[in-house]
Amino acid sequence: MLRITNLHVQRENKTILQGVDLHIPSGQVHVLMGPNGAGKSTLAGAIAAWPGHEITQGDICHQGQSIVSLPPQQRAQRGLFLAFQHPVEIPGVPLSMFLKESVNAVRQAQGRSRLDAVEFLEQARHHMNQLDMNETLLHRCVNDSFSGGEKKRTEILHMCLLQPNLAILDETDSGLDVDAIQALAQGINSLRDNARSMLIITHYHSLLKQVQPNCVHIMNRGRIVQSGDAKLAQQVQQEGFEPFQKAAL
Amino acid sequence: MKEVPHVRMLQPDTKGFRQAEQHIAFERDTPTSLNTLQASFGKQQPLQAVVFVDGYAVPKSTTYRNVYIGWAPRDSNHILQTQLEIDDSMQTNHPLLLLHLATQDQCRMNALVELTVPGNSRLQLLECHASGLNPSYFCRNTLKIQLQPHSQLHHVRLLHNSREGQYKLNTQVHQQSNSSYCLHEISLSGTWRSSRTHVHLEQPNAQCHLQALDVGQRQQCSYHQMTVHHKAPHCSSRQLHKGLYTGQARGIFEGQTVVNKQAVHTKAHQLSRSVLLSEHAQAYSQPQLQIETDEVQCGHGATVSQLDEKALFYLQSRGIERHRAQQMLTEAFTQEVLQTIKPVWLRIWLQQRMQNTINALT
Repeated sequence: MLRITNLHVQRENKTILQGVDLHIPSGQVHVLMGPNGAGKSTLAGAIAAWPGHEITQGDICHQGQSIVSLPPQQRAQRGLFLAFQHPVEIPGVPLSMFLKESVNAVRQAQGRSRLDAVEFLEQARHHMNQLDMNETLLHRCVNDSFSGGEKKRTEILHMCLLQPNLAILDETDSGLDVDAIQALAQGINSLRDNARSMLIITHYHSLLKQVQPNCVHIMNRGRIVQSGDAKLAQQVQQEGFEPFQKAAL
Repeated sequence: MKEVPHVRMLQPDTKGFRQAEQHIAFERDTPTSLNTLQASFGKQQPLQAVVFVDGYAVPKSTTYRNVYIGWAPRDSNHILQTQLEIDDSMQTNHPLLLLHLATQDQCRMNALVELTVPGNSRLQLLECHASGLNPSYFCRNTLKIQLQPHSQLHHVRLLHNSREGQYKLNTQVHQQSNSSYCLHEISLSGTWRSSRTHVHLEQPNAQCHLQALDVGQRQQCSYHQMTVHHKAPHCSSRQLHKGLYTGQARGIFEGQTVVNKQAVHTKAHQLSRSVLLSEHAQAYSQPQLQIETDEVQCGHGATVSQLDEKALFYLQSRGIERHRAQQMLTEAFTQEVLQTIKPVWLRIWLQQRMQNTINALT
């Protein structure tokens, strides 16, 4: 599904990623952990084509095709989804309008029929119920004066509506209370199937208790320094990143 | 309805009058017109209207059932002076339409309209400047408004439909105690426009809220001046100017808040935000505060920027094309001014107009 080879990425003329190799097969959930400044969000940004993330070397392949030259909207239309660490507030754009535009743009690009207002609302309500969200959020503007939890739940709602084949969740569990983490885990688990892959960037072990990952990667200083199964996340929880920092040097 | 010498009025049953009627009917019945939209919201009652065609008053229009004009000419040297008298017969919960319509090329329209809103009453004034067939014309218009104690006026001014028009608009508002004035000025058209709004808060507890949305394209040039004079204690004012410029358009904003010595406990806020959509568009902003007393809360700010790249990326990363994302953000920028317009049918109509304008811009 996703294959990253020898990826070097610069931001503001500073090399952040120094040769990342990562392979996520279809149907697998991988977890990326690492200390602050390790390059986790830069990797997510580079996969989603965030402006300012300049790829100087290496390649990103999605479903066997290189996507490094594609603009962000085309990557999304191929089924790639990035849940933002800090979702952007857009006063003046109602959430319902944004979600509907987005869902229909992706459906249209994939040759599927557009959803009309009724069909869209039905789907949105269904997922909002699952995520324990208040429907009035739809009438408010995108992330405008949303609480931290509401913002993150909205990202998951969007993911559920778009049904991406590759989802990258950039610290979506940060700042969430226990109930919200459970709702998040439910959202993730409801999307898991053989055709969908996920990359979860996180600092915490609590989400991983409810979402069983296939593989855990530790990133440090712009490289993936160790990969393993769920036990690796437990080790991080107990010992911190200290042992891996030595490994990076 | 009485006729007064020196006032330019169209005589009924003349060619000019019939032409005027046709133009008004066109303005009223086109799918984008206010009246059609109002009707679609189940409001069958026609708007109450005062209509000027090419600077001439239309005394008894058949196309609008309720026309109210009172005359008070002074030195009417080709200047139309009209005093609108609001009395009990007017339904103040229905908007009063003040329509300036240009139909002939190269015409000059001069009008001075005086409006007094009596104490304890509430009125909505809808001032439209339009032309159906795009003639080039010059419009010089002065509107003098008196707000008596405990009165409220919601004033919506629309410059639309007239690509080649030139405007010089002056608005003077004098507010007495506990009165409230709210202005929404939406400028979409005209090659050159200058709008000066001066509000005098003359007695305690008066408040005003001035909001302008200025859209410039091609080589359009617009100048907005908003001045609020705080002359009495416990008054409050808010000014919001939003400019959206593309092509080689230029927009100038001068906002001024003057707080006199006796105007203690004043609350005043002023904000100007402009967005430039093209390389050659220009925006100048000059917010000013002139405060002569202590015990006031005043603030001001001004920004000139482009569309937020981070927000654009956020929309794109969810599959929305860049072009559409730009349209969405541009529309969102205008919402801050539009979303407070009442009644709902007027707001929706304006939002649709704005959407069409933005689709043509981007």
